[in-house]
Amino acid sequence: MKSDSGRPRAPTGAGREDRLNAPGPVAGVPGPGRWLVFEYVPVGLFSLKSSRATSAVGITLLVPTPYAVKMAFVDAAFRAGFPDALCGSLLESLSRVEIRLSPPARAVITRTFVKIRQESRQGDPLRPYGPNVAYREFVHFAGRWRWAFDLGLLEDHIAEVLVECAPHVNYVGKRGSFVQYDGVYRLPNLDAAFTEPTNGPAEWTIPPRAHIAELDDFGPDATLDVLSSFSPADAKAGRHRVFVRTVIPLGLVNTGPGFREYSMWV
Amino acid sequence: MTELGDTFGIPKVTGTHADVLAAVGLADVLAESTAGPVVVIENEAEYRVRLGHPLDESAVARIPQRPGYPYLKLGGASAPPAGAGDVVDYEAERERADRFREARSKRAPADAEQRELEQQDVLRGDWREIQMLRVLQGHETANKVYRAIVSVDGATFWKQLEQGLSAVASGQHSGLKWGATLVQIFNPNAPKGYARLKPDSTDRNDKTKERWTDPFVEWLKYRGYFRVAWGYFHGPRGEHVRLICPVPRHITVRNLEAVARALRRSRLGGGPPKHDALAVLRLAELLIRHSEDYHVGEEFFPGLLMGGNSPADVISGVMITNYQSLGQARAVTEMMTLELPGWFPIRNAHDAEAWLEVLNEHQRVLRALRDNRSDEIDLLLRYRRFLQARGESCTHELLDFLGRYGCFWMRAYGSPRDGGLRRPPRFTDSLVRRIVMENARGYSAILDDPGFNAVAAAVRRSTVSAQALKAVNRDHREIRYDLLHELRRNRNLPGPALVETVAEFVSVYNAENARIREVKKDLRAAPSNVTTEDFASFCRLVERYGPALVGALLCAFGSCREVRDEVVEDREEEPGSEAPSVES
Repeated sequence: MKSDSGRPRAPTGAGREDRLNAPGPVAGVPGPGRWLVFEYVPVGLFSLKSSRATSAVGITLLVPTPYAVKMAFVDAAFRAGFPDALCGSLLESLSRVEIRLSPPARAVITRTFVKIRQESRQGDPLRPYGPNVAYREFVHFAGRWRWAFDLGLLEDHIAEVLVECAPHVNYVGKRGSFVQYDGVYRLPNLDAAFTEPTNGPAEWTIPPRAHIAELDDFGPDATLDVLSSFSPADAKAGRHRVFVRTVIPLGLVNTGPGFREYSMWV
Repeated sequence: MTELGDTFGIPKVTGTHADVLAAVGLADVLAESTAGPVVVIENEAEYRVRLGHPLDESAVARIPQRPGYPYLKLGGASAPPAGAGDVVDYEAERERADRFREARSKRAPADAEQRELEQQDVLRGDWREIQMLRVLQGHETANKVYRAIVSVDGATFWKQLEQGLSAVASGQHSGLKWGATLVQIFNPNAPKGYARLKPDSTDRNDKTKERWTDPFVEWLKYRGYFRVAWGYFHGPRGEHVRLICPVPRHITVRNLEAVARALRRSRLGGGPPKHDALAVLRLAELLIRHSEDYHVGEEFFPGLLMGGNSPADVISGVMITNYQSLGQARAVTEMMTLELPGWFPIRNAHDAEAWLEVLNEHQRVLRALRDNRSDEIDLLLRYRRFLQARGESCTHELLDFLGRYGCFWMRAYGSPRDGGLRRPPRFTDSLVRRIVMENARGYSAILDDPGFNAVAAAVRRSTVSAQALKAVNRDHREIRYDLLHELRRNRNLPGPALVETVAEFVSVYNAENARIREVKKDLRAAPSNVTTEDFASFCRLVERYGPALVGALLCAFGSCREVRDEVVEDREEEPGSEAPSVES
């Protein structure tokens, strides 16, 4: 089913709501619940530079952004051998799906300096990259990730692709931020352990321990051709990539030389 | 224009001093619209700026058309715009600063001519901040915004101001075109580099990070910087820059500005760990000394009330950003937040007095430590760690520091220095006890235990008190130089190592008491022994709370000074001479 713009049309209507609230399976996952929740165990240090930060000062976010999570599934779909067209369709379908993330209950950020190769200012073709150092942060998590996809706006066959791709997702954010798949289930509602966008329809609240971060997500016009790093097309803020202020349910509890510790209230 | 409400929020989206500067700048702008107080309040997610009344068109029109910071004139190419009020001729000012520094460095009493010269060359209060702005290359964007503000007519300015304030209120981009760019002094997370929407290039001349710039918010940061930030140059040639920014918890912007101004005037001295720690303690002291309810003989800041609060409830801490020189450029190498102490609430004048005593004592101890000695800089780093830590680990860090400081004191007290003898100050038992008891109430069972107190007193008498008596050539018992080290070492070992050490010490201590009494033929010539009940009680504590905690408390309190102890201390160290500033 296609919309006027040619993009896949989102399933809507009371029937969809009823189906999600019923115990019957959707995409092979028994219900009830409109949130399709994937669980992952962090098995490596996590890092993902905030979009505002430049390459020189890689301040990390504490959670992967919805953009990073969606892109991890698209990447997994390619690696799992799905046809290119379906991968593109998956990306476009995900562009309208809300994702909310529940981080592990404890996180410690360590800062360090790493040696990087940086593009030469002089543009010397024989030495295009030179050595430099850059500020980087890495997060150690204790606990599990939960990534919740809203099934309300997701076609069943796309949800099935997600379920099939989920075990193939082995890192999110900066390469090397490894995770291990640990199962999938559905939930009717999400509690305060999940992130909450401040621009959503519901009144947002700040848990006693939380902070706000600007997380990026697929924009309404996101397509594989534009977002692919290998295509020359320009991505535009607001159209292909959007930034949403989001409440992250992790608050600062301790700091020390070279580290910051965050924990969850609930 | 519709009413914008009486509260504006600046979200903590960067987690750096950029958010604080924007909030303070916003409060500074809004304070010009009203005679009433404008308060900055911190919560988990944002800084809220609250006026006493909703902001309407007439209130915005009362905000004068001025940038709120000086225009930096550098060379002939950057002539100030017409109508510029506060222009700093950088080269002329720097010459004046050099003359001023030279005059001050002369130790000889100044003659009339020199005094006159000094008066002529009195530096601007914000000269250091201007230097930092220049060194970190923030002046160009600040000048551009300055020019954009003063070069339009009043009606346009107020319209732009309304547009900016509406954008802040709604969390949107202002859409203003003032030519601001992101620079690392105001955006430590966005120095030179790229922030592309997709990873398709690593060009170093990429300008994509500028997409994040909102000129209105940048303008607020420039204002905030000149209101509350301060910093200094450090390193062998003064080539590194350290920027410090107080984080408001609940304070009016004018009081925050006044406290920051007073702190800028304080010559704290020392390298980064010492300066950072002293800045925090001095800031807490200034808040109490200038509070409306507890000021004594000091000018008070109207509306700055401490009643029932601690300094941490007024200013939550300081954000410190270090810009390390890498030769051609300076890079962010450290960002940290030190908390202001919130040891106990100030409910009455007695509490305020106790606070000032504690702060004064801690500052005296830190000033006496020399940060060009490896063992002493380690102590300074550990003290700063105590200020960094939060929750219960804060008390652990303090106890660890006190134990180490006791060992250091034993070694340093009476050692030769500058032709005399070194007399570093000691912490007072009662003041330390109050901090620990208020912050870790679970420890009161240990600190109130008679066995613990008897052993701690015995340790004190055999170590620091004996050392202090020796320094004034008074009769003293044998000094146990190794005891504190042994206790510190054994408290972390598994098994009964701590109890064995204490048992051995107690037996020697009691035997020594008996010998003193016998030699002097006076039963009161020696202090009371550690009794069997005392030792049994101490052992029960170790069994219940573990050797690590009881040992840490024993080292800490066993090396503190009791009020009746002899006090011979060094005079406070003069703050270190300011590091030279290098500008490139």
